[in-house]
Amino acid sequence: MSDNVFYTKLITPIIIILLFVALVFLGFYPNISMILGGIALFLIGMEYMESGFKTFSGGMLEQVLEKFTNTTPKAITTGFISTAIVQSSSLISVIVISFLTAELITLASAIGIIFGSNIGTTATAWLVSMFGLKIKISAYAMPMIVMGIIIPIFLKDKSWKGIASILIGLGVIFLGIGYMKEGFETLKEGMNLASYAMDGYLGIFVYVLVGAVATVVIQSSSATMAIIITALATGQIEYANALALAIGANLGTTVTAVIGSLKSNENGKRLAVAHFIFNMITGFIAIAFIYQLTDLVDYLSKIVGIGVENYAMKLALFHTIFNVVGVVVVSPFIKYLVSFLNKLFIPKTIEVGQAKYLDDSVLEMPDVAISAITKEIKHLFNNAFKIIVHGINIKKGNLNSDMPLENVIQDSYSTEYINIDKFYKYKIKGIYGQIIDFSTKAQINMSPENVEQLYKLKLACRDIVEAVKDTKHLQKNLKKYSNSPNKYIKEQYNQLKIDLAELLKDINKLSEITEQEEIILVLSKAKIHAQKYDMIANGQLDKLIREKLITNEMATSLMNDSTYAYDIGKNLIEMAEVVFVGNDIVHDILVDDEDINTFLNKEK
Amino acid sequence: MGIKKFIKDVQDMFNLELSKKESKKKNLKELVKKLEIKKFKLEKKINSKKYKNARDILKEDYEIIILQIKKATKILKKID
Repeated sequence: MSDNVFYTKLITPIIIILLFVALVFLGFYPNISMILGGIALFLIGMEYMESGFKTFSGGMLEQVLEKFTNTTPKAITTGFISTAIVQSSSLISVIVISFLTAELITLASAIGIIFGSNIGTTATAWLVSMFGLKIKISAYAMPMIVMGIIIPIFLKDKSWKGIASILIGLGVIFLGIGYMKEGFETLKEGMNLASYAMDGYLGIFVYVLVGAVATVVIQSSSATMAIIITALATGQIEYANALALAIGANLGTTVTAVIGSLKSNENGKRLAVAHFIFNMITGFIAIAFIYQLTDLVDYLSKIVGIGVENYAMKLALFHTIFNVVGVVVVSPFIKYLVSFLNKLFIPKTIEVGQAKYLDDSVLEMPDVAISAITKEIKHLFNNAFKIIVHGINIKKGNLNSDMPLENVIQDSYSTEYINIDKFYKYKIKGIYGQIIDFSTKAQINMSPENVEQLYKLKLACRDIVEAVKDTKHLQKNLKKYSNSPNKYIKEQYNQLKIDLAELLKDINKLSEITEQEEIILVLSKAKIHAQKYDMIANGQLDKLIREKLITNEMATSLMNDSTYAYDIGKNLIEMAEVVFVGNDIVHDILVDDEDINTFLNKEK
Repeated sequence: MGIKKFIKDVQDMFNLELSKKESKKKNLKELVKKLEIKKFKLEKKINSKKYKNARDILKEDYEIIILQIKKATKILKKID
């Protein structure tokens, strides 16, 4: 179970409990009821914003997180910007965990994103302190909600639906803040929470604890920050205590992450521990240097034009500063953190014939699921490649070297037949089955475009399996006639072996190259050669039969085996077109049958 | 400002309706450029004594690249 599922499962009962308690308090303490209702609305608004951004971005967020995270500064910046925009660190963590599981990003990048995400969450405090407290509900929040309801009626596009959800979310958040503010203001008339203010380090520790506990209970540091800021703005708490509460909220959020990770996979646990260590160090620095940081906030406030008495914005600035300080202090040690976490959570050893990249945590994200399946098919191909290469009795090392193919086929892998059925069961069948099972589950959350892509991937899997099965049929005669005393049949089988070896070498090369023009060249060449060699083989066969240079038995064997070899090539090329060529543009200009015929006729 | 213009402005701002045709054209142009560079490199190799033994293979590669450039240019013309 992913963190997000855990979070979603918890947040709904929390909202229901808050609303229920608000209802109970309505008769006796309407102000407390208003505050609780405000918190519930805030949480509902956050949920709307999160789902809105998911719909609006339509996989764009995942693409950004995958592409712009190859260095630590990039990962931190991407984590910061994306969290500040989507206003949900839990959504970012879920995406990051799924990327890690599918091996789309490294653990160091993932940690960088999480660090950046911590700075990004401070945007909520800015949003609340800059706009939330000033916005008139009737003037902005309600029109936002109304717009959010009206937009999907007229604009059916998915992106517009996302924007509508974001508008509803923002409106409901502001509505919640409005109720919280009103609740604190009326509460002040009967009870002054500021009278419980505590000075010195005792006050700091007590309020850090209160902030942490509140965040663990509400399961959202953003909601805690909203409460702190509104309480501070209405004078219900003192500025110094609010700073300690903000530190506490940061610490409390790690407890949520750690609890959420208990049922998660190793990657989820690694990230939760990284988050925990980061927040503990940041919290410690913030507590130890709280007075110096307060002075820094005052100094910077003057520069950026924040009023001396605008404590809400000063708190937002403090929140950002101590998180930035944390990132600056901890990020140089990411390398050590990675090696520590890899030692702490050792991944389960994956058996040879088992899937490596298919984890249920990526099922909810169609694009990531497609990437995971593609990686798994490459894994399946690697296993199949070894079987096919050994099946035609050549050494993999020789094939991948610069050795001429004429020499590669002479250096046999084994003097015995290899049991392809056994290797198929051991290295192929399990992975193939897991891919099909995973694809069926992933399909539920997919768009028609994704389903179409998935269908092609499933066909690519079948192509690999067919190529292995054809190798099984080919193996026997290949071995028998490669050493035949009849020099004509021996020549034909050796040529068949060379042609297949060349094709296998090219397809394997495709799994390693990334340049589009190289991919086009290698794949087009493979397609032309497959056709060319088949034509030559057929021509040769006719000649050998006509001139009675081979027996009838040899002729039928050669005829069948040429077909098997051609099919292996055809299947592997078709697989490569789907798995190794991701770009539609490349597909469009790859040679087709007509081009191949033109090309071969020209050669003649 | 009409609602259609407003929607177009918002779409442009968020890059929501990035024209498929335009992006395909842009990507194809980039690819043709890369293929032209490859063609040029192959041409140089074919004419170099250093690659005398691999001339046939290089010539085949060269022919394939020419074919790909022709195909890409044809698609580009169609888009225009």
